Amino acid sequence: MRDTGKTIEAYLPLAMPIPRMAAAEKYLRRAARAATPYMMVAPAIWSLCVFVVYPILYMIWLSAFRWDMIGPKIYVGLGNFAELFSNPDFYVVMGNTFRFMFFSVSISIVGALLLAVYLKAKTRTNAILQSFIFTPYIISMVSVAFMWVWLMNSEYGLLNFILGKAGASGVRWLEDASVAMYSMIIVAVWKGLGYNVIILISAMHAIPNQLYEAAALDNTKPLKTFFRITLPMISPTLFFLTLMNIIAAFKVFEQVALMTGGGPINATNTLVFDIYQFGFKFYQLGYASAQGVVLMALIAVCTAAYFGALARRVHYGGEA
Amino acid sequence: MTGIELHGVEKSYGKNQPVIENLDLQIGEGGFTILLGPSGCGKSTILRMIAGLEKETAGKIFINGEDMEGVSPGAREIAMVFQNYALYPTMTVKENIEFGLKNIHVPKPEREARIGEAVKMVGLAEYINRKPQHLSGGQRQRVALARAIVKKPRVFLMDEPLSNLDAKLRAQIRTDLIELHRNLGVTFVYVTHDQVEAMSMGTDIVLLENGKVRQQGTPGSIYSAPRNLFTAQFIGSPPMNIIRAENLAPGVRLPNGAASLGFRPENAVVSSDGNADEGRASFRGELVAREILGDHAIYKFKTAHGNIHTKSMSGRVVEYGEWFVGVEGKHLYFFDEHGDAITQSGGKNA
Amino acid sequence: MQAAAVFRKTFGTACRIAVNLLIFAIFFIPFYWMFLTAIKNLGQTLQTPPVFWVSKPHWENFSKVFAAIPFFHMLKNNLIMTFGIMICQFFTVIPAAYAFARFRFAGSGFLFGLTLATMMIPAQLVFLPLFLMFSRMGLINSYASLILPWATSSFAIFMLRQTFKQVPRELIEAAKLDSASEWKIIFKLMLPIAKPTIVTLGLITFILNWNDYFWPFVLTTNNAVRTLPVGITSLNIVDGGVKYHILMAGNLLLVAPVLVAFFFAQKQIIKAFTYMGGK
Repeated sequence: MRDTGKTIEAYLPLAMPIPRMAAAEKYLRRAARAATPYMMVAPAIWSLCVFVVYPILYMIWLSAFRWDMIGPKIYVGLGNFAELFSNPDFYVVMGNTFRFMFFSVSISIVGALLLAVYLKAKTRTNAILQSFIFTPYIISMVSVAFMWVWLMNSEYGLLNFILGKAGASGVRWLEDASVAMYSMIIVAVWKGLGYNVIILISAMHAIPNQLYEAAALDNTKPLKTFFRITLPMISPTLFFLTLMNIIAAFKVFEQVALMTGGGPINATNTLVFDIYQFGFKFYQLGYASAQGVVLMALIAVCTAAYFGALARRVHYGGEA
Repeated sequence: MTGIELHGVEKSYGKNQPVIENLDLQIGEGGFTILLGPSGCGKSTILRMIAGLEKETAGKIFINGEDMEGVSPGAREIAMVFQNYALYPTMTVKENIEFGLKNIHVPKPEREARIGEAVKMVGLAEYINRKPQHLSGGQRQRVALARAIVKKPRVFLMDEPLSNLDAKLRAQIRTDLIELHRNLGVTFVYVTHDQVEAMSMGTDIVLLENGKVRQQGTPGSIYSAPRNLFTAQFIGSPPMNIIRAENLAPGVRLPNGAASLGFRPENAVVSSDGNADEGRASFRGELVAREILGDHAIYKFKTAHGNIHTKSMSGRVVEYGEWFVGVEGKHLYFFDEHGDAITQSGGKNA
Repeated sequence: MQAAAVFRKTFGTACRIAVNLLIFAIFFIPFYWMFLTAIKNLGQTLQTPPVFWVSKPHWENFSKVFAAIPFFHMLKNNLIMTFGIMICQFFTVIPAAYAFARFRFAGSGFLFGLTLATMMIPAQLVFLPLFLMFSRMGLINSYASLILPWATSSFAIFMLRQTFKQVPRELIEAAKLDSASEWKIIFKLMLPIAKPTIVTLGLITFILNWNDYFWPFVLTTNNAVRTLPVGITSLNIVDGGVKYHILMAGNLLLVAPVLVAFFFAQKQIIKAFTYMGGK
């Protein structure tokens, strides 16, 4: 059946020697091939073990000791936790942390949802406004904190000047213990809102347009369209975004350190700032580590929820 | 020994049932061999084992008499064209074609010469500096071919290379491939599930089912002398009509051991009278659907023995209604209860 | 009827413009106020009612910033830390992501799980033990203590692995048939394909580390390796009191590069962050 009628000389098979390997060389090659993936992951895994896994284990271990960094470590078992949970200041700190978390996350998520709906149409104006809202997210928290310390200055700040023009009396934004936490929340929302907005807008753009066309054919009211189509379709994104926001809120530190130093009278003292104080100012490393374990537990719960949902790939239904 | 030989090849994934068991196969050198079969029959796996992309669980594979055990894909002197073309997206057409040559250190002047020749053969000379995403499906296919041609392989392996193209382009590239095969004169092994591709291009067809060779032969022999029901029904469009013996009218005599009777739609004649001569089969049925396709027409009849398709090349259009479908004795095939063909020695009266 | 429709439309447009202006004001005025204060003198800064424009900018505020803190030294530290982290991550993330995407090896599931598990652990959780660890090794106030803890990123490994996994198997097989070695497959094929992801991850890593305050703050006790964000905070108290115009001048110097970059590459930057959150 072979048809070599028009065989071109040049297309005759290449005389290419097929490598023949000795058994030993074959074995070495196989061993090298088996080792390759381990060598490839080694730097990353080593780095994670030394700088993430080990420190966490070390912190847990340290939480069972009383130690001032200079003297000997004294084993106290769960003593640090007992002390922690009987210390009224700890409850103040935890209350502050949760209040900050709850208000900053809920305002930021709801605000971002409203803005995302408002700005999702692909127009030039919307693109510009999105960029403006997003800008605070990419600049340093240091800059944001100082900008707002200055805006919130009770004597010379722009905010109180505007309030005065509007006929209201000035607010002692960062000095009034009943207000300071809300000032912190304002700044956190101002900085983080843009990220939530762009993520939600991109999630909304991923919704197939046919769903909206079908809704329009049914004369669905805009509000109903939002609750029946938009919200269910972006709910996985919304869920993950909320969890990320919660974790970010739990680790708030820079704002506290730069704007209020935890004051006035502990009103803005949050968990990470307190860990820092006990570790680096009061040198109670065991106690600080015990607080660290509490923070770890909070983050672990959020992470578990995150991966639990990721594994189940919850899609909360397209049509409700 | 030349060509490709598989001896007792077995392939299984993990602890699952093997997809291929004890397969013996010979692919002649210089032929255009088609591995044909429905999806999941193992044809792509066979091709990938020849290429060295998958390792056989047991058995031996020889190319031109050389044992391929432990020989890497790159050293097998083969070239492969994939269904999705597998062009390197970040490289230009020229870089795509050149990549393999550079890797085996072909000197630059020879590279240039070979590339020039290959792109001319596939008609891509003016697209040489484009990236694959700026090419049409057909052009991408040609780049994949050129990439295979420059390597001057002793074997061309193709894994459903036409299935991502539209029908018109497919027909065109089919003739191009036949021409290419004749020009190069090397072994082509081509995997497809499409019998039209198999019949039109192949010099040798290997029909596979569940990892087993059901029949191997020239397109002509596979069409005219199917050795079993599977072959009979896989080749031909519409497939061969099969009527089980128990559905035939009582008193009809079949060859000894025949469990079913078959005939090709194109061999059936539609007429208004049902006079069956000796050795001729005739079925009364009602025409329920017809497809007029210009050069030919396909009819579907409902009969007491089951549905029957006929194919007519004459321009005459059959009206809906009652008809007789007749088949000459020489066009009848018989199969035993295992589905194996019964040789024509027995009497054949319907 | 006609008039009502026209009114509703005009009213709607007016509302939209008002809301747009409000959004603009909320997100623009703080920046404007920073810029304006940065070019005021002390008198103008503390003037009530405040002035909203200064005709003669006081550029000398910036030289006061340079006098108050070792600005260029800190800028250098910032660059060393940021690029040090990026270079380290380049060499740890790419091979790991590739191995996790392409090979199944004994323990690969466990190691990848470990990588995922560390993804959510923030600096705020490990700074205390790491400070103790580095101080035991005498590495406080060293670049090592700023760079090494971030020498890899589980997040980047995860993202890049996803990208590698999306490369069709046939592409790698074609390269193997083209006699390409494993390294050639990585460098000539996989990396060019993953380039957009790598650039995106690089951009995010740059911005996050350039801005970082927490880590260089808690891991340093003097100015030797302190970075700009830490340095700017020491402007908070100059000559015994808060000089907001100096502080804002320093602040402006810190944000200007990021703002300029954002102005020119906002589409890419926004896309990068969207990509990061949209997995």
